[in-house]
Amino acid sequence: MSGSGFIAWRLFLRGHRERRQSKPLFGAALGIALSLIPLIVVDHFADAMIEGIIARYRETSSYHFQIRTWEEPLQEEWQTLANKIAAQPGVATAWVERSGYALARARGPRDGLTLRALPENAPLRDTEFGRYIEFDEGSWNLADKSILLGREAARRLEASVGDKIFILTAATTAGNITPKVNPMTVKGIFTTGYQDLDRTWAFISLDEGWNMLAETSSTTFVGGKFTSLAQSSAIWTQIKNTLAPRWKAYSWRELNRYLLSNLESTRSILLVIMGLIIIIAVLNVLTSMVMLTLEHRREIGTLKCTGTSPGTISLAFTAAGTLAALIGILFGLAAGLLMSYHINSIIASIEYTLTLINGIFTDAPPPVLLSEGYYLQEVPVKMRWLVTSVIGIITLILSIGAAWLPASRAAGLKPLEVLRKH
Amino acid sequence: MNNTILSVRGAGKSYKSGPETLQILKEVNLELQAGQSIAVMGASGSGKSTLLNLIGGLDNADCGEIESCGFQVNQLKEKELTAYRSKAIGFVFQFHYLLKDFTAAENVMLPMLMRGIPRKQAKAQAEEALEQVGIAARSGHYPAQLSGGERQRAALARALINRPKLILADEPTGSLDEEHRSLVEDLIFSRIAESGTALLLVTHSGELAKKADRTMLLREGLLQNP
Ligand SMILES: Nc1ncnc2c1ncn2[C@@H]1O[C@H](COP(=O)(O)OP(=O)(O)OP(=O)(O)O)[C@@H](O)[C@H]1O
Ligand SMILES: [Mg+2]
Repeated sequence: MSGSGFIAWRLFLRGHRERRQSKPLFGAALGIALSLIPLIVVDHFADAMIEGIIARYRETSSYHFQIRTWEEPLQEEWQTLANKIAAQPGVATAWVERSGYALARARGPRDGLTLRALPENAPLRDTEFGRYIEFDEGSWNLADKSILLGREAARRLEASVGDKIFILTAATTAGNITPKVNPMTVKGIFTTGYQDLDRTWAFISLDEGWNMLAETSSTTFVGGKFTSLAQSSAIWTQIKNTLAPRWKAYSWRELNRYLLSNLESTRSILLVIMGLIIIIAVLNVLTSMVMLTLEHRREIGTLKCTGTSPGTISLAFTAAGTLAALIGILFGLAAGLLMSYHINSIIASIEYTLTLINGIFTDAPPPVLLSEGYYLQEVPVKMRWLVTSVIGIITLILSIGAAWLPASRAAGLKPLEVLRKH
Repeated sequence: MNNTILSVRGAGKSYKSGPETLQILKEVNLELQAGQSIAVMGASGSGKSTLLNLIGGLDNADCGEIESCGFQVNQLKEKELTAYRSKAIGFVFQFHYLLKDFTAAENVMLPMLMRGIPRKQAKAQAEEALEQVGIAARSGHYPAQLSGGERQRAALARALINRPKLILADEPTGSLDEEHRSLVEDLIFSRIAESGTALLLVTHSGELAKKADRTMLLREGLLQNP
């Protein structure tokens, strides 16, 4: 096989360039790079989105775990349980949450809310929770019949900070359900950054929750967080084992099962699309290699006449094709990673440009690419080295195959067939 | 002492052309001794190139035996064919068939690289071979930058680089003008004389044929004395 590296290198560099000579290998490299760039960017973007959405659900809604029951324990019993759980090693926080539906009315139309009654100092006790609750207006304050409204709920109710708002809940008095009107003051308007999640949310204090929400029209549970989610499995087993039989424990995976399976299927669809993109890029290598070998038929004949073995020839062509693919892969991955890393500023600058163009031509409101109705406002991109390398390696392996196929065919060429035509 | 390099006995070759079968070579017999040169002449289409192709293992004879440099050429598998072409013979065609992406020196050194000879040594020997055919100054040029005569001289250097026992030359100067023709012809004969290589030369030129030790004529599928 000696000499194939030399031939490969020359085939790749094309020592003497004639103007009309095509550059199939350059095309193959470019094709691979151009398919890998969007692939890597989409992969990072989608993953960051999915991770961001999951993190928001986990940190603001489902907690890392919940303890529920079918019975109707007293407020003190709930509190005792929460304290007991919170005292466990490996558990960062655990508190009682009571939540239920209510009707609300401010200046605008009547609308439904999901009241979430939490400890008054919740964001302080759980900083991760606090991190994901951002305020458009006002701040976290649940004292004295205060209520915090989700951005979308506030918009629909036409409520703003300082407004009086009437909350209609169901109260159970002497076995009868009667409506109860609770006047409250809006102290803040918040968002989790993901509208699907907080569309109907309103926070009230836990004390108000016990007060306003009837047992029959609400749920109560202990929500807890681990100090480290990654190392929580032993602690989780421990918690489940020490619970009295009346309590049922659920992990965040169980609680978010539908969300996770939805996101998982989104991921699989993306995977299929990515596979198709890679296959197209690899087919591009295949056609380029066919071109290259066709262009070099006479050369192959000559090489054989001078005692070059078919193995050397196919190795040389395969190596040249692989080298082109490798360059395309490295370039594509590097550019893709770079773009992924800066995706937020790229999106921001596209938005900025669109806004500028929009401003010149129309009076319509500027377009928002990452509308929070569907997406996160800022995508927390993490570099996915492993996935990126796997994509690179798979593409490389397929490219080697795509280069080898035409190369080995070409190497079987009978010299006479080509030399005779001259 | 048996010094026979090439022995062709009863070689025949026919081509199918539609319903007809063209019997190009009927029964060719030929012997070539080490260092000897034979010129084969004959009308166009008489099968001269076909004969050379059979001996070079580029095509298979229908019948007969071809023994060249210790190889039974007609029965060679791909691997042995490679060895045969790499070590035993050298081709010079009417057209140079140099690789266009390689310089003259690289073209000449390729057959050595294929035999596993180190790059440096191959390069040095290629430069020397180019010197011997008088185009040392052109060693870094690509085929497209060489004149027809220079290309043919590079092709000759390439054919000789592995010190083959037999050179198969098919109208090696057929594409050259008068002036270059005699220069390249003289080179061929001086080079093979110096290296003791046998030569089987196909030509239309009586002038060139005269320079060979013997001339034979291919006619009606038979190789005869003229
Ligand atoms: N593969 C083939 N298929 C069909 N016919 C062929 C094939 N190869 C050669 N021939 C025929 O065999 C005959 C001899 O061809 P060849 O090339 O050996 O002639 P030649 O003596 O070298 O002629 P020239 O002097 O013109 O080069 C020609 O008629 C040619 O058409
Ligand atoms: Mg001919």
